[in-house]
Formats: sequence, structure tokens, C-alpha cells
Amino acid sequence: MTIATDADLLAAAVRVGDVHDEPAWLRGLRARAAELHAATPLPSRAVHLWRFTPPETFEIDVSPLGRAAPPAPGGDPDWPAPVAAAWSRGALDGAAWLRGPGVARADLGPDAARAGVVLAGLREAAARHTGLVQPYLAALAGPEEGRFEALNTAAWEGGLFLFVPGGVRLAAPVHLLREALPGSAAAVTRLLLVVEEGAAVTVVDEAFSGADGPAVVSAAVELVARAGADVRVVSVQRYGAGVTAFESRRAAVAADARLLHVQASLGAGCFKMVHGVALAGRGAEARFTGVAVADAARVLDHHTAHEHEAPDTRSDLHLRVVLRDRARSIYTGLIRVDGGAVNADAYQENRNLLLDPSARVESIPELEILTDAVRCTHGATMGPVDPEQVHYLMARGLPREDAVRLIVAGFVEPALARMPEDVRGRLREVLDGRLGLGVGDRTLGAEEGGGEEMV
Amino acid sequence: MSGNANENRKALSIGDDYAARYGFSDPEAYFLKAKPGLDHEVVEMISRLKQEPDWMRRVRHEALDVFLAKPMPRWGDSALLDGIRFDSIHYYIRPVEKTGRTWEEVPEGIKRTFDRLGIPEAERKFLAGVSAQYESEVVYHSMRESLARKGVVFLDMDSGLREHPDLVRKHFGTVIPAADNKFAALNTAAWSGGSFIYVPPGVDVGIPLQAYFRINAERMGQFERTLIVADQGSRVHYIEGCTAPVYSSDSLHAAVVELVALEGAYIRYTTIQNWSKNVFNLVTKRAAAHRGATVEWVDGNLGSKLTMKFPCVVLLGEGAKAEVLSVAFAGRDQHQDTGAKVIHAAPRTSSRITSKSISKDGGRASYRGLVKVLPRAVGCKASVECDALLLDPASRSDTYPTMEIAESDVRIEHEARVSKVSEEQLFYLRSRGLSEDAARLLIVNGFIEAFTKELPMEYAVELNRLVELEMEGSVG
Repeated sequence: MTIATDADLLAAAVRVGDVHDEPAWLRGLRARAAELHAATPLPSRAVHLWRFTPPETFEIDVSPLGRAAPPAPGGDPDWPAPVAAAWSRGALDGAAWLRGPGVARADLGPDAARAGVVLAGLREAAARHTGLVQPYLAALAGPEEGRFEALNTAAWEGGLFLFVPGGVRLAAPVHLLREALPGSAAAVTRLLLVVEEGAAVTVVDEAFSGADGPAVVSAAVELVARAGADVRVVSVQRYGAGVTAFESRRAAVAADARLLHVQASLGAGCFKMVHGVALAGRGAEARFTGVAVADAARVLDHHTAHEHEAPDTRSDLHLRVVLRDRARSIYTGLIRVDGGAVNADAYQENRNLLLDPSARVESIPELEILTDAVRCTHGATMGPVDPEQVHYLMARGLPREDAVRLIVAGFVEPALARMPEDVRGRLREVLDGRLGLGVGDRTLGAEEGGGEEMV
Repeated sequence: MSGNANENRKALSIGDDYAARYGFSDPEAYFLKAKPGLDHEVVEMISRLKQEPDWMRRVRHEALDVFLAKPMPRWGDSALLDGIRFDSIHYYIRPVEKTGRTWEEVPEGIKRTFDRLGIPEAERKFLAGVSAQYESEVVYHSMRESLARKGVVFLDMDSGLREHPDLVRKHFGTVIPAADNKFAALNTAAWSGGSFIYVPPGVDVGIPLQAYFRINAERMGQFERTLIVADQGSRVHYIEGCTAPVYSSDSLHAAVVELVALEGAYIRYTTIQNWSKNVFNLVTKRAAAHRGATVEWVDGNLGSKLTMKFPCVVLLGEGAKAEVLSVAFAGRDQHQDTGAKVIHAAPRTSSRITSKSISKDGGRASYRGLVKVLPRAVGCKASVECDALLLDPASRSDTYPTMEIAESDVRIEHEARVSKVSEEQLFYLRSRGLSEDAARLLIVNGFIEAFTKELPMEYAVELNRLVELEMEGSVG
């Protein structure tokens, strides 16, 4: 595959700006990011974050970017069946569908629209709501964060923007679909979520590939939770096996704001996620609860970084990983407590279940604590299905397969238990399908009409 | 209460501080002092002076090339590491012409030093053998007759190479090859002194063997090389202690310690490192544990400017066991970057790592560890427990554990906690009449008790005194 040279990237950045007739400030941002990309080497494998998955894996061929003409205005495509069903039940406050480089559709429910919520393509929002987008775009997952973020900032083609005004508390979720189109242009996409003071929202962020085939995806997700905001993000990754994806998610959580991030990593051939949270204001709280399931030589690489920058901040992380058949999981996690962040309370736990000897797991949970008034704890475990438990269940008449399934379900349950109830039920069903131990191709099925929409 | 006031005075008075107890230096009156800097010429000189066999001379020269070619590590505390001025260090200093066999043979000045450090006294009391190294060479060496009769070899490394060339050649550099890391290469090129121990099959060296390492000269590099081979079913406990004077320019201590525990053997290696705070202490320690063998590292780090030391056990044979128990105390301007590594390369091997660290006065303690399970090493068990205590807001604690597991039939557990001295504990102790100083000291001693109780009594007492010294004036 052709790897982008710096000149290629700058050309792609200019092309994307031209073909979509973007405002000058956005083109300026792209050009600056391309410059920084040129000045930023690939991450060094000497640092833990990149020790196990070669950074070159995520290099992207940018030459197809900015070649497609802007989509002709036409009728909106039909929502995938599960989303359509949720709409008809009134169970959504909004939904948006990013399909390859373009926004297929973005709708808001009547309550949300009345309250001033904005849900739109990122490019359209940059033009129409400049004041809401410009201050935040690339502020968290911008070119300074690293080479991949720089590439994404310079050349993103598709994007979504969600804005929830101060005090608006949405009752139903906003469902975002990010669809990669294998075989077509490289997918370089970006989300920007801004939740103002005291607002509340649940965002379902579902990433998938619509067809089989190879694709390299670069995604950046920025989340700004202003003071007192209450944000829940349910991130479901169920790409097909041909997809290699790098996802940089960055959040800034202000004073007394709360973020709950639910992660379900179920697909992709190779998936690396960086989940960085800055607990920037006094009393900020960030919780992360995740389940990752892999088989068939898939690689799941999760990195989390919780930066406690202010006093009285709390973070809590649980990641449970189930592996079999040559699958590999890498977890690197950092809790950092800055000097002034007194009374920080942080917890981090990574548990791994290996279903057969060909699976591999790496775990590096790290702590950097620069003040004494803290409570920080972390733990990690790795082990097989306990043969005694299997024996116990079999002695009660369960076939071995069911016994193992039950034990695996029991293993992931503590992570599920930390999720909001509505999410938990749906995810449990999906996992039942997968853990039943074909982490196969039963999907959440937004596009398959299987009645399996999230939430 | 007068009793507690007394306690308190005692705690305070102990600290004439490190400078008075260990930080003194003697005038330099050396038999030979190499020019600063390390090149093939200096390596050649060291090898010739020692009248080494040709293979060792070649090993040194090859290692020097590796040292010069290898970049400085880019992980860890690079800011401090990059401060090492390799060109200004004296790589070889020979204080005396030959090793003393009786205490009387040791030159008066050096004898006074070790007297002040309490070495001969310790030997008389409870040790089976003792070795004292001053700068590059071992100046005093003795071992109990009864052990020699059983075939136990306890020599300084240079004598070991002379008297047991085949044994040394068979094991030297097999556990830690020169190319393992930059500082192992440096040691292999410039090594001098250290201990060579061989314990014959089935022999139990009931009481500990001890070595004491002392750096006296300014900008000195000490590169002792220790090799311990415990033959089948034998048992040995080796203890080392280290100190250096307080100078304004830095010294470098880069030791290599290789342990070979053959089938069913048991080796315990205890270190109390109390270098002065101008010493870079960059040590590679690794053990090979064969079938059914047990290796234990008991590692206490109080001194030095920067210590990077991660004692390792490679569990090569089925049923082998590893235990690493360590304490690090990081005070002002200190970074204790310590930890442990265990490689499970055989089935049904087990390991336990327990690490305790205390940071104070802006000091930084890091735990850096690795637990690795290779494919087909079924039925392994590993547990890691790290506890860090922060005594003030300016201090720092890091935990960097790595687990790489390539086998499913294993049990791996890692846990770490970082906390401060709790107000409730302090309140409780103070309500019983203890001063705040005394209460903190008690809490710290309790925190590291799991470690101290593994030490021979004399060492436990010494460690407690050192901790008291470090804790002095910790309130305020």
C-alpha cells in the first residue's frame, strides 16, 4: 500500500478544502496540521503505548481523499431498520449516519430541535455554526497529539457535529452511525461533541463496515463536557475482519461534569483505540467500562489515559477482555495525578480471560502520582476458564459448551453491571450471540434489519 | 510524655546524617589509578594487570565495542541518565597490591573505613564469609574453614577466574550477555572485583556469605561482577551492602550479578544499597532457575541519585520458583527506578513480586516490572503486588508494570496501590501519646515490615536505623 508522503498529505488537505469549498479558517487548520504531520515522526515503539502494535499498521494512503465530488442533493436514504424502528417508537432524540466520506442523513427529534440541539455534518456545521465549532475543533484530538491525529486533522473528509445547549437534558439517546466503505476511499472521519453547562445526553457511537473487504480507518472523536454536564457515550466497534482502524478519542471534563464511557470492542482485524480523558475541573468524574471480545487472530489494542488535573476528581476504569483462537489483546493504561489534584480517587482494572493457548494478552496498567493526597489502585489479571468451575457446572448436567458460555458470561458481567441499564440489556444480548462463542458475524445489525439496534 | 520525647530525640539524634556515618572519605593513596574515560587502552590495561586468560581479554574488548555502539536507554529517567559524564569517570582504581587474607594485612586507612562501617564486627558475629571491596578491587577476603572443607568456593571474582577458570568460563555472561544492555556491556568491558561463589551439590551454606562494596574516590566507576553457581540441591544466602562518600561530582556503579540455580538449588540474594546521593546505581541482576530451583531477590534501595535496578529471574525448569521482595526509599533529589522481572519459560513455575516504595521530600519512586509467560509454559502462577506510600505532596510515585502472556493456562495477578499516611492512623497513634514524628516512623516501619522481617536481624536493625535517618524531620 502507498503510504502518504508529507507532500501527498498537504495536497490531500488542499483538495478536500477545495472540493468542498470550505471556509478559510478550516483550510488554514488543515494546512497547519499537514505541516505538523511533516514534523512529527511515527510513534516510537520504545514507548509503552506503541510497544506491541506497529505504528506503520495505521498509516493511510491519502491519495483518494478529496477526489469525490460533493454528494448531489437528493432524497434522504432510508434509515437502517433498527434506527427506523427506534424513531417510530420515539426512542431517539436524534440520529446521524456518516457513510464513507459523506453524511447520508442527520435528523433530530422535535424536542431536541426545539431545545436548540444541533446535529449535522461537521463540515456543514463549520460553515453554519462557526462560533460553536471553531473554538473546539482539533483542540483535543488535534495535530499536536501525534502523527495520526495530525493526519486526521489535515485530511478528514466525513464528520459529525453534535451540540447540546446549556441546561438541555435529552431524555432519549442520539445515535451516530459511522460506516466505513471497504474498497472505496480511505475513511478519515471526525466527530465533535460539545455538551454545554448542565446539559445531559446519551450518545451511541456505532462504528461498522457495510461490506466485507479491506479498509484502513482513521477516526478522531472529541468530546467537550462543560461544567456540570452529564454525558454518556456508548461506543460500539463492530468493523468487519478486513478493517484496520485507529481511533483517537479525547475528552475534557470540566468541573462537576460526569462522563460515562461504555466501550464494546467486537470487530476489526486490527483495532487500536486511544481514550484520553482530562479531568480538568474540580469534582469532575470519568468512568469507563468496557468489554472486548476477539477471535480469529484479531488484534484489539486499547490505551486509556486519565489525567487528573484538578482537585476532588474521580476516575474509574474496568476493561474485561475475552480472547480465543490466536486473538491478541493489548491494554496500556495510565492514571496520572498532577501535583495540584488533591483528593483524587482513581481505580483501574483490566481482566483477561484466555479461552485457548493460542491467545495472547499484554497488559500495562501504569500510575504516575505527583501528590500524596490521593487514593489510586489498579489491578490486572489473566487466566483461563477455571476447570473446576466447568467441572462443577458439568456435574450439574450442563454440556461443556454451555458451562463455558456461562462462565464467560459471568466474567464479563461485572463490566456490564457498570453500564446504564438500557445499554446493558442490549449489549448482553449481542455478547450472548458473540460469546456463544462464535465471535462471528452476528452484528448489532443496524444495516441488516435484524432488529438489533443499540439501546 | 517524657518517654516519647526521648524516643523523639533518639530519632532525631541518630541523624548526624549520612555524611557522618557513611559519607566520610579517605585521602586517595592508590597503588594505581587509571586515567579518566574508557577506551580499548584502559580495557587492555585492566586485563593485563589482572593477568587474565586471553578469552576474557577478548570478551572485554568485544563488550567495549558494544558499550560504545549502544545508545543510552530512551526509557526511564533520561534527564538524569544523560547527566552521566562517561569521559570524566575513572574506570579502574587499584587501592592495594593484593587482597588481604587476614584483617591485619589490610592497609590501615582502608581498615579504618571498614571498621567505621562495622564490617569485621559483623563478620565475627554471624557471617560465614566476608569480602570487602574498595574501589575496583577486593581488599579483604575470608571464609570459614568448615565451608572450605565442604568444597564451597567464595572468592573475589578475579581470584575465581584464576583459580576456577573452567567454572567461570562455563557460566560467565551466560545469564547476562554483554549485549544485554549498555551498562551490562560497560561492566563486561571494565569489570573488576565482585564475588564468585560455587556451592557443590547438596551443600547447605547455613549462614550467610557477605560482601561489602565501598566507593571512596571521586568520579569513580565501580563495576563489580558477581557470579553465584549453586549446584544441584545446594542452598546459599548471599548479602551485599554498599556505601560511598558524599562528593559534589557523581560516581557510577554498574554491577552485573549472575545467579545460576541448578536443579533443586536455592539462592537468596540480599542487597542493602545505601550509596550516597551522588552515585548513579545502574545494575543488572538476573538469575537462571533450573528445574525445581528457587531464587529469591531481597532488595533494599535507600541511597543513590538514580537507581535503575530490576532483578530478574528466568524460570527455565519445570516447578522453579521466584520471589522478589523489594523496598525503595526515595528522598530529596532521588529517583529510585526499581522493580522486578520474571520470565516463565517452563511449565508449572511460580513467582511472587512484592514491592514497597516510600517517597518523601520530592523524591520519586518508580516500580517498573515485567511478568512474561512464554508459550507452552502451562500451569504458571504469578502475582505482583506494589504498594506505594507518599509522605508529602511534593513527592512522586509511578507504577509501570508489564504483563505479556502467551499461554492461557496460567494465573496472573497484579495489584498496585498508592496512598499517603492516613490521618486516621496518625490520629490514633497521637491519641496514644506519640509525637507526629514517632507516629510516622512507626507507620513507615509497619509499611515495610514484610521486607525487614526477611533480613538477618543485624540487617533489619540497620535498615530500621537507616529509615529513621531518612525519616528525620519529615514533619513540616
